Amino acid sequence: MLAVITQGLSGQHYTVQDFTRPLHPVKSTGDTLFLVETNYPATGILLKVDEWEKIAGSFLISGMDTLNFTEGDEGPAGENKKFSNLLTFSNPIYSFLFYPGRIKGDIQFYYINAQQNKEGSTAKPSKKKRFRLCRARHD
Amino acid sequence: MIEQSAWREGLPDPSYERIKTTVHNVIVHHSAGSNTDTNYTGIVRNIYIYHTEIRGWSDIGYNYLVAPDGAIFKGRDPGSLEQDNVLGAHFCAANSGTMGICILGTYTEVSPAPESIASLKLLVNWKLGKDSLDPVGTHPHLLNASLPVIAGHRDGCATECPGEILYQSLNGIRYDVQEIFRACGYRAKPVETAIKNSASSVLTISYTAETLSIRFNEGRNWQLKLFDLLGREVYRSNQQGSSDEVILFTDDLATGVYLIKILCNGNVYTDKLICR
Repeated sequence: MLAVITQGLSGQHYTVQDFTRPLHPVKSTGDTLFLVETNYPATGILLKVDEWEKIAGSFLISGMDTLNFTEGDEGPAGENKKFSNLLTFSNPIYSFLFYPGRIKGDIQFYYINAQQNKEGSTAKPSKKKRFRLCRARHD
Repeated sequence: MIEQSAWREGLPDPSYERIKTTVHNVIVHHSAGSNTDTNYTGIVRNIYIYHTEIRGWSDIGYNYLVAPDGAIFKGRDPGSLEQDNVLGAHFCAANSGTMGICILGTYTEVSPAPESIASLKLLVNWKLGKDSLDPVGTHPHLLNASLPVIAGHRDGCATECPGEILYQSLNGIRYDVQEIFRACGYRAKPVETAIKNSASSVLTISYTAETLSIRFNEGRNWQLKLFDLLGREVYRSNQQGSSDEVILFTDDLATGVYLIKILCNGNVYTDKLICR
């Protein structure tokens, strides 16, 4: 099973999940894919791995899309770790297929929830205009 | 442009002391994210959360972000400063003197949308015109002594950013912006690059996109000649020793390499001029 660590600070918009192999391997044309359930509405996903790992070659599949993880551009993450690039989704996802590629060691998934809180929105609902149907009179 | 208050709605405001920087280099990035995600506001919000909550930065790193549909998002909140002059966090931990523009998407194998390139040019043209920066020039930076004024992230440190395809297109963007500059009548300020020999104490040569300027620090007995690569003299200064500075407009010179020969106080100094 996945060990889920939720860093549940108030107001936080992300959560962290440890990836532990083997989980739910799904055989697919010779490569081993893992089904990952996020347990969190993820609009953004990135990996955190040891800095000597090669991230290139790992990817995820969500819906009809295969999205590649690559080295992050924002510099080291501290404690000999590094982040991947940030993958985003138009709508939150709750599961995906993951291929770790050449990553051998520990992997942490960072899930971001950037959805706008509809309830908290100050935007006023649009008012529907009412139209009166007018017919030409033919006397 | 899309204001921070619009895309950041519902997320915590940044809280920090803003620092002003005088920009000499515009740094182009790609977000290295999905090319299929069309919720551009959502992408910017994701990056903001990543930078502020996961990385622990005070705000989003970039000054501006450009979406594939051409929409320009204002990035790091400048507070009372200007959007283009607030110190960001995007360039290899050496951000002073830079302004960061992030093109949303990954451009290692595909080209950015024409709309995002058009917005990038618009933004760069505005900034360079405002600060009289040379679109095809360079300005020394801590990480790169010849950092182009319009540079890619990888010009500062080892990274794939802004993606090979976008990086290769930067040269075209530089010349396109230069063309707009000319059409608008903008002029770039000279970037002083003292020549690296004994002449540096005697004279200083500065280049811009359209001018060659020579300032004589010692003595006023000088003459300037310009030769093409075939050794033909294409220019000779008419005046000798009447001023401590000469400015030569290079607009009329054909594209190519020229040799500058300066006679000053009985010595001969040479340098190379490349007209692109």
